Amino acid sequence: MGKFAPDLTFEKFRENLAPDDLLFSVPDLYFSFRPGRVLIVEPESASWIVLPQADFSFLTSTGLINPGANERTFRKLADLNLIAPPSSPSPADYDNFLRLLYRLFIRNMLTINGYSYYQPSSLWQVQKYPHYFNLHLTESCNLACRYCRVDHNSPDPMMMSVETCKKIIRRVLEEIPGQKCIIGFHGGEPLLNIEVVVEGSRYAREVAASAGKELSLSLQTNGLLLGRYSQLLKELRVDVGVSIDGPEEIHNRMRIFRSGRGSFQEVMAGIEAARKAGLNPGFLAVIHEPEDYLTVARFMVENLQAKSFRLNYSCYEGRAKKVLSFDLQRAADFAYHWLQLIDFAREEFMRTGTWLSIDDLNLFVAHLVSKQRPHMCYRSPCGAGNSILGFGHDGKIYPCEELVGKEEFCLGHIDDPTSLGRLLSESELLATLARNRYVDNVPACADCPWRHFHGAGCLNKSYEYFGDIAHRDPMCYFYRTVFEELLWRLSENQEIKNLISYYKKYIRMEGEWL
Amino acid sequence: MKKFLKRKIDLLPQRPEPFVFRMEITPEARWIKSALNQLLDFSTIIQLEAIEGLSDELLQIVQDLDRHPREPKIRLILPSSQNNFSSSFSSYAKPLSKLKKSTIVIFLASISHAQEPSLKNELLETIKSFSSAGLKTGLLVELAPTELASGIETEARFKAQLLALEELIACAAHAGALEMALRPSLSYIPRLRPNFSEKTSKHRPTEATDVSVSTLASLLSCLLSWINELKARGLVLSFEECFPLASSAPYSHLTQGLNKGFSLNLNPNPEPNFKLNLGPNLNPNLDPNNFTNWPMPNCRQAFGSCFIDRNGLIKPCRLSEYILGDLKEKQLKDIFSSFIFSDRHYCFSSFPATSSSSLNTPVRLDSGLKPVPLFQLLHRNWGSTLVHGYDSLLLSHKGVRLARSIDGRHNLRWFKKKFGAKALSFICGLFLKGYIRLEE
Repeated sequence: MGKFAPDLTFEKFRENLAPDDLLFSVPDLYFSFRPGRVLIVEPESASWIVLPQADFSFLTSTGLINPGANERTFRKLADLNLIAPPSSPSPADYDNFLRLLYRLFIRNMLTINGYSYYQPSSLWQVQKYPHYFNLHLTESCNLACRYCRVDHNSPDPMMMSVETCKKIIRRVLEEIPGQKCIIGFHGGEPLLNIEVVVEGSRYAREVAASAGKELSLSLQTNGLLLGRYSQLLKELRVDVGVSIDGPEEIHNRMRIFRSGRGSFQEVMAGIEAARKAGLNPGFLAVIHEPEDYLTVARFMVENLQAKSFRLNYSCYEGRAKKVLSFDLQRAADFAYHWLQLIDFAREEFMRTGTWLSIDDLNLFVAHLVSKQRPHMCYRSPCGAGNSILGFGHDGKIYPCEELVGKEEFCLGHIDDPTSLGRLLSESELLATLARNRYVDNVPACADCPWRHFHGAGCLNKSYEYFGDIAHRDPMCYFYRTVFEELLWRLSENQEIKNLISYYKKYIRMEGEWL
Repeated sequence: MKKFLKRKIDLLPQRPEPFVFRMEITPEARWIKSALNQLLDFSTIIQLEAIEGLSDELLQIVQDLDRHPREPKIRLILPSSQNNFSSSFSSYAKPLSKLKKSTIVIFLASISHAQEPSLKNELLETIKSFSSAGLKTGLLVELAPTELASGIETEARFKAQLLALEELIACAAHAGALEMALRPSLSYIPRLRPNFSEKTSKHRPTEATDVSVSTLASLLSCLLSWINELKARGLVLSFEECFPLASSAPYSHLTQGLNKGFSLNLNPNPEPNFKLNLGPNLNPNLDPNNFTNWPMPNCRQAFGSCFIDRNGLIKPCRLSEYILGDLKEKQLKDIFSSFIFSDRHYCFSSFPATSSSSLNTPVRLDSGLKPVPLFQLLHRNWGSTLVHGYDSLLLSHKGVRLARSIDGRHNLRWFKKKFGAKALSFICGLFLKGYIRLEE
């Protein structure tokens, strides 16, 4: 980058700036204002800044910031000095002026001699090969949750065989390049197929050791069978995630047995057993009513003593399509209540001195203070086929766990002789997904100021809701709202960046991001 | 620069893209479907103004457009003037939000929406609900400063209106509206043009009185300084249409940085005696001499956008009295081939780094930078056009070759070697006009 190299400090910037340097404005910026302050977003490089009103007005008067313009204007630095207030700036004033230019430059809101500090084309670092392999051990379940996609009335339990599981494990560990590998057991309820969990886990450890790979094993359960299998899972060194939707009155609304009875007591007993066995389960709640966010978060902290948990909103899929209301206000209502989690996390920090890790709140903060996109679901294109692969109980291969069972997305079968590496690199379907899910190719995402903060969203959610993979996320207004509000909150209170929690180790936080 | 840009367009049978059609639609108009089919051959952006609100038939029209292989961008304007418009629109938000190409839904409001709390709340709730459904929303406000331009305290009353409007716009932005624009109400024009013929004066208020240009100029001056104040606070307001006679006020889209709407001002120094070159088969209703009396805003009317009223009459602009043709009687291609406009509006003269451009300041760019395209290169049987947003450039053969080479892999040094030194000026112009960005 010539004289403005990466990790540019203000001192270096000031030293290298020459009077005849040309400062270009940047077109198509997004502006939002609150009393006394203006938020500016540069969509191409997902950069942002909040400026005091006086600074903003000054910049518009110079033409360096040109709201509404889709063309660039430019000024020579030497000319700008003359109009910088006051007309004969003192060294301190001039220093402040240069610092303002520096802050704009490193956020790509100012181009110097054509240079942009950050190269937008390097924003999305997409992996070539997946590292996370999600196996659906069964499509049956011992619960009949009202919103689930699993058909609990199916007479066929659709269990994966031990042979199929071993074949998948051997092939992904041996044929897909990469040092780290995560194998996740999902379903249905994977513990209904405990034989495969046990045999598969042991076999995976053996193969990983011989292939020289780092292996993690995980399992997502409804918790009902944890009383029986927790000890075994501890011995197998499998990380366990439990789905629990909150306190009893909320959980039992949706997570029920076939009889209609709620499963809360059994799930809590399972969690208790898991903890007794020495497991440290993670927790996932699906939120159906937006006003439940705070109640569920409180339950996680106070009743389950969780410091880290995930809160997902329910999606337009399976039985949820009929059971839940997907009305127009949904995205706005969810955003409003979701944002209260920020205050909740701050209160918890004040009370306990520890920052909670709430997915995806931590992730969104990470997107605002870094150019990295650590989570595959919020990349563009998303991680389907490049970060994750899903395997059906019958050995069929899919680009994502969420697409398992959808024949139109089937990439092949584990019995196919083609190597998995070649299957992925030559797949036309994956190429189409990568092209169509790239956010700049999604027509409904065009011109959205937040498109490079969030990407085009979940492929499966677009497909289920719109019947089209080249469409936006159906909850895009939720993301738009929460990103903007998070920016304002970050500008008001820098300590919110601590909500980034464990993603800190995956990203490089920008030096001066406020 | 002529190596890369086509200097003349008068050899072209059609307009360069992107061509914007703004069209009034009503459920009763049976000619709309066939008209839209013709429009799709000419336009890249279609703005439909549902003047009587939404209906199942209109929704079907929009859905058909969305599925059309030509993939036009669709903008939909919905009037907020009906009673209970919110409830009548709400059932359409979901099907509209599922469309791929429907880029924005704009709610048309008047100053009364800013002044009456119930109307304002209903409008804001509707914007919020459409935004929440995932639609991009906008607000278009019609202003009628001439209606105030008599009696006492004209300016004070206008400023009070603008203050109320300011609050509405701020609330609309908060509710999720991404685009804000103003346009003059139709009553603005007749009161300025008392010599209109009877047959075209249907919008003229019967009690119309002349408004002095100086009064209007002071009102427009108020408007512009208000808009600049908003801009300095980060609130972007564009004009969908010009306020004619605004040239009496210190007004220019380009210099004010308001060129995001349709009325793109491509030349900051309009010539007062601008005249259209009209072909021999021109609609007899159109007297070309009258154009000299018309205070032409320096925008893209007829060149880059046309307006089709509820009766199928094509006009250069919604505010224009001149009829280019009747879509119910003639095919669009026949109407278009019957006249050719001067290239006066063409942006060549204002293209940065050209010898005739006022923006012809030498710009030093590092030769190690690589241009990355932000444009589309469209090929038609009459030539090739570089398109970015609402703006476009007609390219010569050499320009097409150069544009094809802009792929983010070659640096400026390479372009200089392959296309010559002038290519750098051209690329610099593209950079300034936002068609490309430069990366290392």
